[in-house]
Amino acid sequence: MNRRLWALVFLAALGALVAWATLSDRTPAAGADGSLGTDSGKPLIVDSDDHGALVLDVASGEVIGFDAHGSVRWRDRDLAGRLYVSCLAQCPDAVGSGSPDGGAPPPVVWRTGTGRSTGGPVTGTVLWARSPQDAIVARNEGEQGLIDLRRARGTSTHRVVGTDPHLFTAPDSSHAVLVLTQGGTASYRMLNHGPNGWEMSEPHTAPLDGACLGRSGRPVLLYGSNDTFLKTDAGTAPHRLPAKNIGQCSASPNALLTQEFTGSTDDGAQTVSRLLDRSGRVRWERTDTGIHSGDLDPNTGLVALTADTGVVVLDSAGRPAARIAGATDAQFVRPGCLIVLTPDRHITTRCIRPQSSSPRTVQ
Amino acid sequence: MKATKRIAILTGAAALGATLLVSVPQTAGAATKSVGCNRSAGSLSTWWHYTKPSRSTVKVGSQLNYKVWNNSRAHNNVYFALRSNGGDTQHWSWTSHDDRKGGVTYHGSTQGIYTIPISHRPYVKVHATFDVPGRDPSCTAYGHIGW
Repeated sequence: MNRRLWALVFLAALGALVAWATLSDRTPAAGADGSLGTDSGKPLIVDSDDHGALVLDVASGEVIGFDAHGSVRWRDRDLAGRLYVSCLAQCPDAVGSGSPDGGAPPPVVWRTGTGRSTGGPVTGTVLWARSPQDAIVARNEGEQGLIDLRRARGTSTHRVVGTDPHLFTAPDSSHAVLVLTQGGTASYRMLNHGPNGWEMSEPHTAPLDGACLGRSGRPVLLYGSNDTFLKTDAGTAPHRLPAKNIGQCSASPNALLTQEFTGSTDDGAQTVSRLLDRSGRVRWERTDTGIHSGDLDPNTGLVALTADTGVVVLDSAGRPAARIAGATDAQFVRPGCLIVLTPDRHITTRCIRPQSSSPRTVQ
Repeated sequence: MKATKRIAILTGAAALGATLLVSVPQTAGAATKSVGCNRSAGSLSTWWHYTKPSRSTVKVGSQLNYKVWNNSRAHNNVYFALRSNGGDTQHWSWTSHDDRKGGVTYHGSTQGIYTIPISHRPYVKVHATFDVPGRDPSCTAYGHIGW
């Protein structure tokens, strides 16, 4: 009788342990005692394409270059400290530049094939580059801000007013929006990449933080903390949307994914993701714990969102098309296909076919 | 039949254990809502929005919102700091006057734009000193930004 009772107690305790293990799979933004906590940060995909990926390993403070087969090509600690890190014409060839808080930019780091170089002919902050010869670079000459549009035939230099330049490019790198902070507001310039390289418009003043563009530059969403404007077609005026506090967005021909990032000492971090149709109407909305950059596939309209338990892929109606358990990040690299990052810093490629029945679970 | 019944009892016991504990984190979850910065003399709630110019950076500089509650007095103090690299880098800090009223939601900003790589692990530190007769108690809380 006593043995039976102990068995019951043991099993009850075991059940409790299992429940605790399941429920405690949540990383708080800060310790329950108000301390910063011990979370060292999960790895994330900085940039990727069909040829490879750049992964920021927050815990080790390195950027890791992976090839398309998931093999590590290099690790670079200097790149992790640069403000702007992106792939060149093909991942994992990479460039990293810029310093936080607008300080003097450190030497530019270039990663090409197995080679690595720092400095070289490009000085300043590389906002976009396919190569050192095809790049957009921000730099200062005394108090004057300059933008260099570098191309094979030479460089054109443009004086700009403002600080903290950020460039937001279309998925096909055909168009871009340059946003500069200017006093209490901002200015932006439209750029297009023609046969003679990049060309830049005159500045427009608007309280903007960022933008996202679809292929061929349409649609384009311009957002600030209180203002959001959507321009769908060339020749049409942008119209104001009621959205506020957009922190990041991505665009496809028929949809826009907006994300709002909120920090709170009470509730920790939250990401609110919304899919808008081409007119700006909200098609679906969801809130996830933690800060996660989503990705909108410009070809299929699928959305990859990271949550604490893995990546969920949603269709345009917000229905789960697939779940990738345990993944810490994912990014579309070709129609319906994602580069997927695991917590132990491995990458794989997963292709999702939108389907009408229950979601697929990809292990 | 007897074995089946025994298995059912054992399974039930395990399920009971799980059910009992499931309710604990929910209660704790409700409690952690006010754990951020909380003392018997008052609580401080803060929340903020930020943007991500890229997947590996955050841009902080728009609204910081805060509210002292569970304290209706008029001489509370609030402190904010934006830091990274485990506290080695302080990008910005701000201390309020001794006049923050309990129950009022205040909106502030960093008076500047800070773009920080996530690899630097940026975070916000907040601190409140609550107005009470005698020695004022205080609390501190932290929030990650972008990681």
